[in-house]
Amino acid sequence: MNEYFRLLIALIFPLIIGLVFTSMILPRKEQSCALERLAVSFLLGSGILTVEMLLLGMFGIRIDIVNIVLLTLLVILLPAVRVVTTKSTVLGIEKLGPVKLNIFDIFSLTMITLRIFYVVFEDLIKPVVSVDAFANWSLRAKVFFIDGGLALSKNSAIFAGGGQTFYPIHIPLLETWVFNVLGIWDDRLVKAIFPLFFISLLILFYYAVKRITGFSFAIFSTYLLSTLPMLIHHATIEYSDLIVAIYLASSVLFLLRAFEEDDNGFFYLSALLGGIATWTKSEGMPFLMVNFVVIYLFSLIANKDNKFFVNKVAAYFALAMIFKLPWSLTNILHKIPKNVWQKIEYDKLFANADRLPVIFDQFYRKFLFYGNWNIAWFVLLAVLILSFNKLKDLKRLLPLTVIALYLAAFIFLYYLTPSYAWLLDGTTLNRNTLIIMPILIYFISINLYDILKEN
Amino acid sequence: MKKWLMFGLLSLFVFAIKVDCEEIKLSSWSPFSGVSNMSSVGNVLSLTSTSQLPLIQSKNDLFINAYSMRTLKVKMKISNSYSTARIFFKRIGDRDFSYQASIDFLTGRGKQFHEYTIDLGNSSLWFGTITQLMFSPMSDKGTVEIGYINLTEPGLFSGTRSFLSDLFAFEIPQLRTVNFIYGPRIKGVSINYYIYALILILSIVIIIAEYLRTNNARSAFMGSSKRIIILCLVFWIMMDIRTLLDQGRTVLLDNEVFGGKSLAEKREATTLGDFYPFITFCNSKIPSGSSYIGVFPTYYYFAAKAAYYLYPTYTKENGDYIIVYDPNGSLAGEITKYRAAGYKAYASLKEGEYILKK
Repeated sequence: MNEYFRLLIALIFPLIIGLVFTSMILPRKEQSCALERLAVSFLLGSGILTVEMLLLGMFGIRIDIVNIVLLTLLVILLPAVRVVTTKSTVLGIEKLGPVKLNIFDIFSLTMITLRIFYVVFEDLIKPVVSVDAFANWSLRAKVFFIDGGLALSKNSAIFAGGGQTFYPIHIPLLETWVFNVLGIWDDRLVKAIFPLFFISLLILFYYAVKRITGFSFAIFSTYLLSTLPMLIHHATIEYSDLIVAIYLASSVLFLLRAFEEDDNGFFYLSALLGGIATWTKSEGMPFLMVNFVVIYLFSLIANKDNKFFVNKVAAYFALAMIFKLPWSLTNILHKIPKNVWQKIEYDKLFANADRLPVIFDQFYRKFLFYGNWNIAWFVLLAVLILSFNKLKDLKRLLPLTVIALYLAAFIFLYYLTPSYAWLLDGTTLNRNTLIIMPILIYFISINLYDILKEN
Repeated sequence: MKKWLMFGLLSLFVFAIKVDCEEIKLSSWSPFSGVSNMSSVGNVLSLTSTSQLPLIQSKNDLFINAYSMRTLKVKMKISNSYSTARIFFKRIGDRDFSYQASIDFLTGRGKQFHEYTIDLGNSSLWFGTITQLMFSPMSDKGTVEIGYINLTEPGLFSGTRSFLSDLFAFEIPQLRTVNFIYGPRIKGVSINYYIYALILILSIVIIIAEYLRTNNARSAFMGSSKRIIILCLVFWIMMDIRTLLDQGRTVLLDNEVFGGKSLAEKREATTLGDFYPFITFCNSKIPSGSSYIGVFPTYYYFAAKAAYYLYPTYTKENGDYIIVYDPNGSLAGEITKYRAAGYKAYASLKEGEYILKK
């Protein structure tokens, strides 16, 4: 029982860090309700916590509970003072009022509950199983925990924790934190962080859709998101693909909300979450660039001047880099080998033309004719046809742009980098596609709602 | 009246099942390879699988007409849950069995009898005259009990049962599931093909009906959109319920494998073969923080697992210890090289699993 209590503490700690920052960024109660604040706080707080741990490691300070807590107190001091002095909302409890559930609501809620049960059970019944999980993420977490540092010395038994050392270490460090609180290396209990990420995604997605469609359809849409077999499977294994997808999706959803409600708080939140995406996986960076295009598109459509665009992008980039920069510096200072799989081969711009049909063929097969995504991609096509005349509408155009640019980024990745090999052997396309799926289901949902409402 | 109607339907149902039961009972199976302790008690054929492809073969003078007999029914119980069975067939003129002339199917939960219905017509090579069958009841080591293996004429329900068998086959999560999930495949084709075809056909019907009602192409298209979307959502939910079934089976299976076990036992259950007990043995014999050289089978999994479980003991060129995991006895050359370099026996767990020290 003691270990579960410790686990609870380990999970609550990043939540508290996140809550302080979320309350500072979103000070008014009406900006966000309690569940949504908790979800975003977990995502944000875990990112801040691991950057703190990285900084400790960079400066050669031992990564242990005492040092982490002391640094955290230092980091949250100013925001906490601001939250207290401005009487900002920490958790605004939503007034629910009498809720009358119809049969579809009950069905959707039941199915979501079953999925959450499945994810929690599968995470906690067994230790780390998958190869990349134990050979990279989990091995590094174990090394950091046992060494009490980042193993960046040339004399380290396993330099930088081993595995693919160029992978960012947000997830390994979050696991290291959990090991520290548990006091032991337990690669089963540490997996408790993954259901929390999954639940955070469901909550943030639900509120994003609810603002447009209301309760019933938002619950149904959240259920649709939880039907994607590959997404559910990735919530039960210890990989980072879903985690980076969650950060990017929440970043996009808050960016759309920032434009819709003209609220800078959501804009900052989007930048911070996008930044943590770049700190979770190398792919985070190119996909974060998509947000810049969205900002540009918005300023174009909303007739904003160039100054608006430049200021926004600069602010966005600066906030995101809070999370990316320390890791980039660590890579340079300690000469961590670069990711050869993402080396762009511009000289093969024309020579690789024969890759294009293969790339499109793989997209066609994997998106439509495997069990990875249920029939979501087919429904996307149906929705595009049936809502074609409404796609210019900003609330549709921006998420559709994100989907198109993510796909373009995949094509670019496979066309001009050695990652093409991973496309051919079937290892990465579906894992990359996880990044698109929450936004794709969001786009489908808001269109479905209009089609069902209007006819 | 209703009672008579019910009775009539029931009779038809029973008759249909009866029609379905014209069959050839296949007996006289003999071991071919990877099989030991084969014996027949009563009607049950028992055997032990000693390889990943245990094979038993029928007589070689079956002379079955492939067109009339295409449904295979197998009743069997195997010790392991969710393995893969395979039936090979040879036609007149075929010299050997081949994977091309075979069909595999997934088996159910272990330690209980299941009847499997396989439509051999799904193989493009199931035609002409079949002279001999070869059957692999599982893809692991374990025990097998076979109640019967019968060939049946295609009946009213055999196609349906074969369809249902394909539809509900359990795609057990494996290491590769992290990269892709096949999903249900009917006659070897993704079920999504059938669903898309159905949605498209029904959508066209809906649009035509709407056009006939409104006599306006544009409003027929727009007016049908809600029904088409609902149709899509119905299939989406049906597919999800199918996915949920596999997830439920996964929970049961994992509860069976991991439930109530210690962390060490769980780790052992997630590690191939008997590698984990060997790593635990190494951990107990080699001082923590020492260096080692791993001599493992070439599959990178073993080296990665050893690095993961042994840290802070770590791998290094010219390490202090050599840990040898050679269950197949295929690494003798490499081991001899290290012995020649001065490494001597230090501790041994069993044959093929030991530690050398400088």
